[in-house]
Amino acid sequence: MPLQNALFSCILICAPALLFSQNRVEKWGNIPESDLKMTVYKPDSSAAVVVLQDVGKISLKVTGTVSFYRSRRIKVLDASAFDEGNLMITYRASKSADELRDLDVQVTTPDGVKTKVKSDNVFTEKLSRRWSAKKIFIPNLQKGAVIEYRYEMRSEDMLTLYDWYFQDEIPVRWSEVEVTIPEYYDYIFLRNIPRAFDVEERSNGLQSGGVPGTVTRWGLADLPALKEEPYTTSVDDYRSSIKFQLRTVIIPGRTPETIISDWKELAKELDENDYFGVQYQKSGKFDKLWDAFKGNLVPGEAPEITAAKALEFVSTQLKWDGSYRIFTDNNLDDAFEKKTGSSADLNLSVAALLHKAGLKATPLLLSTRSNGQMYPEYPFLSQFNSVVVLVQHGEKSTILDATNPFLPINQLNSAHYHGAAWMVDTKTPEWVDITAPEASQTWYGKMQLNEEGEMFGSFQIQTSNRTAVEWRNKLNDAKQEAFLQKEFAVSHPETKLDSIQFSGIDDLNQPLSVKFKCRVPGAGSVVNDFIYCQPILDFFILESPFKSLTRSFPVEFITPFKAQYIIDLKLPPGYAVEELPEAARVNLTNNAGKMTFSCSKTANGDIQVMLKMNIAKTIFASEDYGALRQFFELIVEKTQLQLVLKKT
Amino acid sequence: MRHFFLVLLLQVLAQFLAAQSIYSVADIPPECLPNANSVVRVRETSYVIEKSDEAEVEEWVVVTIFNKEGASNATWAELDDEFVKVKSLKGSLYDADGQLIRESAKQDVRDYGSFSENEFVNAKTKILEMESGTFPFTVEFRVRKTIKGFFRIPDFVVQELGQSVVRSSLSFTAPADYSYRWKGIHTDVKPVIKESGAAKTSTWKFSAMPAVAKEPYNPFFKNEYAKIIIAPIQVSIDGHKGDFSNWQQIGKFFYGLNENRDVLSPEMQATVQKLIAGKKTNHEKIDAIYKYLQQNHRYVSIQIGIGGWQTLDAAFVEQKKYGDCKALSNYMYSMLKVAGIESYVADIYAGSKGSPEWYDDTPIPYANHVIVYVPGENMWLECTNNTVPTGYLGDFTAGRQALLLTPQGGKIVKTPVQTASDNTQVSHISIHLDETGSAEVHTSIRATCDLHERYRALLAEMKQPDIEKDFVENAGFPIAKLHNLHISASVSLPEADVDYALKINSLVTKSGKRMFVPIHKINPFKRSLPANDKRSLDLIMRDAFTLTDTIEVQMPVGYVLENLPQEKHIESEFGRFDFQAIKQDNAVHIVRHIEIQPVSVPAARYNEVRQFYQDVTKADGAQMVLLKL
Repeated sequence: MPLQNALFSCILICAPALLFSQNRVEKWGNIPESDLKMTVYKPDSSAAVVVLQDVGKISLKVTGTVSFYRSRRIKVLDASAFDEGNLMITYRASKSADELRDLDVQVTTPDGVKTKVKSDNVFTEKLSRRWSAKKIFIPNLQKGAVIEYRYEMRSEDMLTLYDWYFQDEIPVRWSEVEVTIPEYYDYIFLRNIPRAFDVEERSNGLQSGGVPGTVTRWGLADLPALKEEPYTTSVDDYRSSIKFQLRTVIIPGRTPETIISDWKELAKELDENDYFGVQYQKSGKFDKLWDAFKGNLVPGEAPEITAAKALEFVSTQLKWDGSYRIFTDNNLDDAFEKKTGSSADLNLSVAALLHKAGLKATPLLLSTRSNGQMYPEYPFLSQFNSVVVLVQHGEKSTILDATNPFLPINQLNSAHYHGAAWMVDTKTPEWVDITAPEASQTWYGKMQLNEEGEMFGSFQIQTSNRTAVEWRNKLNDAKQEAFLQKEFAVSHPETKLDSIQFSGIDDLNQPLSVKFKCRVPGAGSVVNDFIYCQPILDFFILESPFKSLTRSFPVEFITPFKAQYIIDLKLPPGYAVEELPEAARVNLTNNAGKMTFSCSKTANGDIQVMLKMNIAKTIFASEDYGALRQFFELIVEKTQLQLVLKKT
Repeated sequence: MRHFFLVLLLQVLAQFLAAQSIYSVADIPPECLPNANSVVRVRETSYVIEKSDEAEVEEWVVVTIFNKEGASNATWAELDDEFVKVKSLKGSLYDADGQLIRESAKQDVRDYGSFSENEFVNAKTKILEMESGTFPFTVEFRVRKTIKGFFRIPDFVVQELGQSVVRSSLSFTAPADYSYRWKGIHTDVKPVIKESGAAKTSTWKFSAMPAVAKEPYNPFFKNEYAKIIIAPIQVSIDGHKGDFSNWQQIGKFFYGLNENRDVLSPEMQATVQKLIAGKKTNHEKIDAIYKYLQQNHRYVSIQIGIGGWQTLDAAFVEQKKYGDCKALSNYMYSMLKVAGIESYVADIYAGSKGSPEWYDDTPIPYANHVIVYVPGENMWLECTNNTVPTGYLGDFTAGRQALLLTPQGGKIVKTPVQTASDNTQVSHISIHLDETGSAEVHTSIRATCDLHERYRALLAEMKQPDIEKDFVENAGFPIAKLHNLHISASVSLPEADVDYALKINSLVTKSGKRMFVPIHKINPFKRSLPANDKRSLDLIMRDAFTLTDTIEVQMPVGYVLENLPQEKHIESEFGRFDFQAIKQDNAVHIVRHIEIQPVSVPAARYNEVRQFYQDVTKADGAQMVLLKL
């Protein structure tokens, strides 16, 4: 059965001349005694299950059919991993469907008894329009069992073949993939690995039909279990993998076909594409949209104003359907009539309006944070999954994203902040850096403390950029008072809010601020002649986000940010400050972050407390984790500092 | 002729106006606006029962949605399986002015299977989303489906909390000799009955119902405020006929459906005999068999057709070593039978939020789970959990009605309630402070019942390195160094022990000469109810527990106590709080005891409960102040 696969696809007539031979792969059913008897996986004694070996063979036929054969072997060390006996193999069920065949599953118990898993344990289920799955429930599973399964998938998708992930959420002892490609086809290999391959070998072979080709094999040993950590762009960025991208097709006697040439060529293709360039540049695609919008324009107005109007029009008239795309679903007018669309439908609509209004609006392609990295060195399209818009006017440029009605100009949906984007300009296509503007919040209170320990007075909180976008989103979903209660009165739920006045809710380009009066009972505790009082009533962090003692991956924030809290506090009559907390200042290396805290008496006898912090960059290497962790812990500590007042 | 056209025109105009009035937000009667996250503008649901196992269902629903809280009304979901076939599902979206924005196309209805790896269900869920980005908006759904084989009719929820109703109706048509019972919950509406030929139609009509505000901890399971429930008496599904006139008969039906599926192979019978060999009491025998079940079987749910209600044969589980709740419970029952121990399976509604109420006069088995009952030991067995001790029912199934299936028929019984004296946590904490403000903390905890479950789950899911990581990440305080952590769970009792030693850099806050020591930072109690002077719903809070902490704080050298919180006692029917601290040499000895009782009070007493939690939370936040000499 496994060899059937080879018969169907490409048989290597010449045995490959191995440059470097290392074969750690056992044949199907051949399980070494040491693996049968294994009770603990030494490199990770906490593992309840381990992938002993995972072998992929991808081969491309001259005709373009891709075969993907996979054979995987896992060892169940502990009953807590019995759920690993529920296998789910998902495959594409849509038009370019995968064909799944020759599924074979067997289980070997520690005493060496093999049992083939019969088909009554295998179920086929359509999960959604795009995905189907084989679900296999391994019967009679025992501690120590070795599960082997293999299958072949076929598709006609020769552009990207199949991705191979070496690493998994459970430890992998050995993983390898072998790719056989006829010489007519030239592929780019996109590797994402933390260290050199343990096996990397290439050999030439003559394939059936007399077409020579190459066989390449990559292997990695002892991969630790991949675990998610907070503040990571996407855990897949750190999962060892190899992906493929067709570059050229050179069939003898035919003109070579370039799939990936250069950025200019790609920009030109997109420009002429019916679901991309044509949509936003050719009339007839967005007439209704334009007719509905054009009345908003005022002749002679500044380009930024026009840009903001187009953005507001699209983001409020069309609801983003939650999907990221680079091509429109249909014509832009169809999305406009349905009042809903993907990121491509919405943002290309913005580009269309601005283009027609005479501005230079260019789409920017990018890969969202969870979609994986981009490859500026390789001009291929499938690395992208979404689009935003760049408007250039004179020396200035403005970036637009309509996927959320609360995004002002120069502010993107956080999924779109992935470092860079590629400008689809036929003349000067180029990569542009995309960095999020600093998010900020400032809390200012003018408060008074009374002899009962109650604090009262007024507060103002101002937010800008991403923080303001988040606030506007939340305000849209909740009543103003309930919202403010959640933001301001977490530590003191008995806080009474009054005279709440928001400003800038509707003007997205302005900071969003709120003024209110408040009474906070129990802000200070009165004990004999003393009042102890925590002047920082609430803040954007009350607990450090980094509790774990260790960190495997870099810490990635979406935006740089800053926050400050200032309070002027009038003391109750007859009380004087017994003791003020000391001032403090902390800098992270290279000005990556700063915290200052001060507490002082003002000229009129009040107390002013000030806590300021900022994080200036978005990526911190895992080596810097300890310092970052301490930094946040210190900020939290400062929020808890107390004033000591004594009756005079 | 001219006149005719005018009439026609007027008719069209009248229709247009009528249509307008149910879609435009401006046309909502003012009394339907307060407290409404959504407004049912019109709903017409009709059931036509052809025979005891055949029904046609049609629904037309127009709902205006004001905010995110009401947004779930913009999505329609229908299960489609061997018994229920969705013939058509269509939706429309209107803006605030009642102008049509879009109509659903066929491909907008999406079919989903189960994404779980441990489940195969031969059914799909059809989902149609008609959301808009701008509130308010109005959605309209039209659904037609055919049901072949059923034993219950889905509840007709007239009104959710936070939802008002302009007009709504349920009509139920059945052959005149078809018998059923119905009950109105939070509504007095009686049906209008019309007979035409052999069919009889009952129609319940509702109009102008103002919204009842959605408030937390309300008595309504899933926030369904007013509803009509219908319980058919003669039922039939997949060729199985049943009489659902009372619990006894309903139990008989399910018992019959699952009868004679308890035969184990001779080898398995021998295995059972081996398991119980030498065991003297039934309790020991059950324990041995239950542990065997837990250690060798896993939960896998395969639901095909009547298999949603009928268990897989015991022989199936014997061979596969997996099954769903029905199959594993039936298997446990079969093994107990071999051991000569009488037991029954029981249908129950599982979930940590409790169960919908079961009514004797309108019996509807709201069940989604099966467990086993051993009458001789008055013991319940949860057969899908691989780690809990024998006879333990957690929050998932405790304290609610269950339908026991016996050869004589069904019997309603109640599973044991977890009380404040069952769910306990006793902690001994010792804190050594040094002059920098950092603390060495040593704690030993014994937790029982509900409070022990998280520790048992940790042990079941992770090994030591991951347990430590999880502990550090979820501790309520920043750990600088974890010296040791040991968690263990009792094999026979619902108890877990935790012992740890660790260092915290910032347990206290230091200001100049003073050190502020929050007393209960290691194990704080915080609970607050939102302020509400107009509470309208009864207040129901299910949880109950007792926390007892003895804490010893060693003060750093050179510091004296400036302030020690006074003894404090709060006592009410909702629970109690006792605190006492004594200074002895350079240490402070603290005893704190919190008891939280379940709450079930009318709305008028809301603020009493709120005050109680406020007082306890405040008292628990007390701090000591140390002063440097």
